[in-house]
Amino acid sequence: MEKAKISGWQLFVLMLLFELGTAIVINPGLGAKKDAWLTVLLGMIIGLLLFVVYFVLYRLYPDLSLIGYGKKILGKYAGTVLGVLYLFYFLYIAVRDLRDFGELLTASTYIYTPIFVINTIMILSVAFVLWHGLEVLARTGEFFFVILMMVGVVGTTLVLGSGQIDINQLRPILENGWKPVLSILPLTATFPFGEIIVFTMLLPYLNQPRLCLRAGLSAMSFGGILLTWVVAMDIAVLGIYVASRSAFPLLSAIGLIDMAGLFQRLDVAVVLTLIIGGFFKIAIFFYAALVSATELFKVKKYTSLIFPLSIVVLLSSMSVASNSVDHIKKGVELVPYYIHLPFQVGIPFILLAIALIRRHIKSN
Amino acid sequence: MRQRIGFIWLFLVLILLTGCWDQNELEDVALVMGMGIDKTEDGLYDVSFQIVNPEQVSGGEMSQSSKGTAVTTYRDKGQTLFETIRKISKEVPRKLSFSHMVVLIIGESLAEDEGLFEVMDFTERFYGFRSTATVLISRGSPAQSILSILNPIEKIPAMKIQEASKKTAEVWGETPDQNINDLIQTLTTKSKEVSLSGIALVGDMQEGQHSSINEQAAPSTYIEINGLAIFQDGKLKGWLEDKEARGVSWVRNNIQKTVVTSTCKENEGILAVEVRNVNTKLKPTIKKGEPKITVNIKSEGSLQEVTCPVDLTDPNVIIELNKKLAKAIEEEVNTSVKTLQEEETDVFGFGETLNQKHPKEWKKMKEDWSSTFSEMDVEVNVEFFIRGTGLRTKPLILEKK
Repeated sequence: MEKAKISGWQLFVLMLLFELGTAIVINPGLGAKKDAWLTVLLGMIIGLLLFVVYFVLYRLYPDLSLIGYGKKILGKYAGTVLGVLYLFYFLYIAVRDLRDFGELLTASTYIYTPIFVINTIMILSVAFVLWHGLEVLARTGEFFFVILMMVGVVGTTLVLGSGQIDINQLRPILENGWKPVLSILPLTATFPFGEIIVFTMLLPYLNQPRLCLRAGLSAMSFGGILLTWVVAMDIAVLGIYVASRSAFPLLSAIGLIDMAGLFQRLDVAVVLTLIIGGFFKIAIFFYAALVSATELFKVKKYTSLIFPLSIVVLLSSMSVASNSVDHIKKGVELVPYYIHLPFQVGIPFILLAIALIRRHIKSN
Repeated sequence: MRQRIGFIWLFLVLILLTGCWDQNELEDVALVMGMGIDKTEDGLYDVSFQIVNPEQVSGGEMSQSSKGTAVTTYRDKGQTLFETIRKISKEVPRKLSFSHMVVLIIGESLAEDEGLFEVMDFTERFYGFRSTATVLISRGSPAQSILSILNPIEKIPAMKIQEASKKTAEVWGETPDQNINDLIQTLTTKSKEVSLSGIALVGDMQEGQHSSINEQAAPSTYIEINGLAIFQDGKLKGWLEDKEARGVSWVRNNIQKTVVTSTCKENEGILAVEVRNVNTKLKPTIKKGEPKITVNIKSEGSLQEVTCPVDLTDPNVIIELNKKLAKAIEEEVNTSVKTLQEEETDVFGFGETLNQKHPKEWKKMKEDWSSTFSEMDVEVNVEFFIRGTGLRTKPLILEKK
């Protein structure tokens, strides 16, 4: 294990950047039409509950990562199998996020740049930062957190100031009842909120364990409220019919800003947000995969795995889907139900149950 | 050694950071300011582009020495819009850039026969387009002829068109200034119909295309914003004129400023007010399954011209005039509502208002909305307040001997 330590504040920042990540640009709730904001908000609440489960597991084994206590709880063999599964899960999501990132950039601004080039540059920068360790990633996070918040404040002010918001576009609430909201809920609860499970690999590095719950819950609530606000703003600016057909609603909404002919063409701010968010999302999943592999296969230093796994992630990101439509379809229809749900909800709950039963037997 | 590796890294980063894969050199780019779309008889799009001649618009002494037009309009035909954009390279030595486009003009016959859905898909999907360009319907002549008319005020005609559309929406209020995004929003809203401002050519096209038009003090050929095009299911259905068009703006709360006139008492003379601070609220109600919309308009303004012998220092006279003006606005809105009910097109967005307040009842009505709309009860209440009488109190006409 790396001898890194991160503070409660750094954990908060990393979690927030992770939550906003790509979700702020491609909002998952839009399947629920005008009630997208409601779905995101409900998804956040479910995410908070999930985080409490992960937190209880962390309190039971404060020095171990998910892979570590998986072995303790399930035994050596079953634990190792579980560990390998999680390794693939983290890698796969890192791959998907990298592809997401490349698809978004090539569709919006880098029209003629091959996606392979964009993905290569991204994975290179991720590898570079991770080479220097978790602490550097955390400090990078602090820096970009400030930038992102500044962009957010300026963007929000300008959207409000340019009078593009028509709150009536959000009405009526629950136009088609609760059904569409609930059917999209698994999507918003797992992406991006449930994905916070990746932080179970980072929690052992926290130097103030008592801050864990506070940092986690506040980061998720803050992130969730921001995502809710952004999706509500997208709909209020664009109208639901345009927003739900846009590949990137935020990009289209910000593109409409024109304040006194002076502040306009601010799309680049969205691209900046996307690059920052995408970077941290990929980096954290990739880091979790690296740590898992190190623990499972008893490698001395995780840095020796960076290069080979980078190549794996890069090449997989190219082959994971044949085109953007295929990629998004998988992401909406398969990944949340068959991959996110078991790994984010099923397995952690089973682990917690077994751990509590064991503890109970022991104390008796 | 370490330093040397660091150095190599820095150089690598330099290459990557420029991000010059998608470069567009300024001298290779042709800035499109306006685009016009028509349809030929054999079903092809006839697209015209107004492109800036950089030399003519650049400041300094250069522009004074050369004599030429600031823009050139190119045309090409194709089955799809995108095709023509690339095919035009046969005529234009540069690559078209649409990021500064300010107007999109759609031909009347295209809007009538084919509708807007087919045309607008490209404008929304193509990465190069900005959805802030003003959309207008050319009236009486094809879009390409509108686009090529020069004018003395703005060097770039497309800018003139956009400014005219914005200004008239601001001070006159008959025709709204709508961009691509506004249009697509209404187009996709099933409970609202599209209305777009028209633009017409006055005079002779050939003459208007020549730069000598700018040497006339009273140009014989020019273009003007003209009428409000009414759509049904994305297809042009008809035109509203003057006050009928303004009626739509009153209801949709689109009026920033405008001028309302009214007679005083017993048809002696006339008065004009500049209207400001219009606030329109739509109140939908449903009684026994029958929808009803109450349009409440509150507005204020100040007198700018009075030619009737009334004593404006008397508050009671002002109250009287308030009622007269409210009545005038009410009539305007009522005629507009009546005309559109006859046409069965809900450009007011009454359906959307109902949907927002009574979603359940709306679901039952929406299938049959245009006929329900044409028969529904619309009540118009107008309140008007004169806030000032200009720089003088009593009208000059009172001093007449």
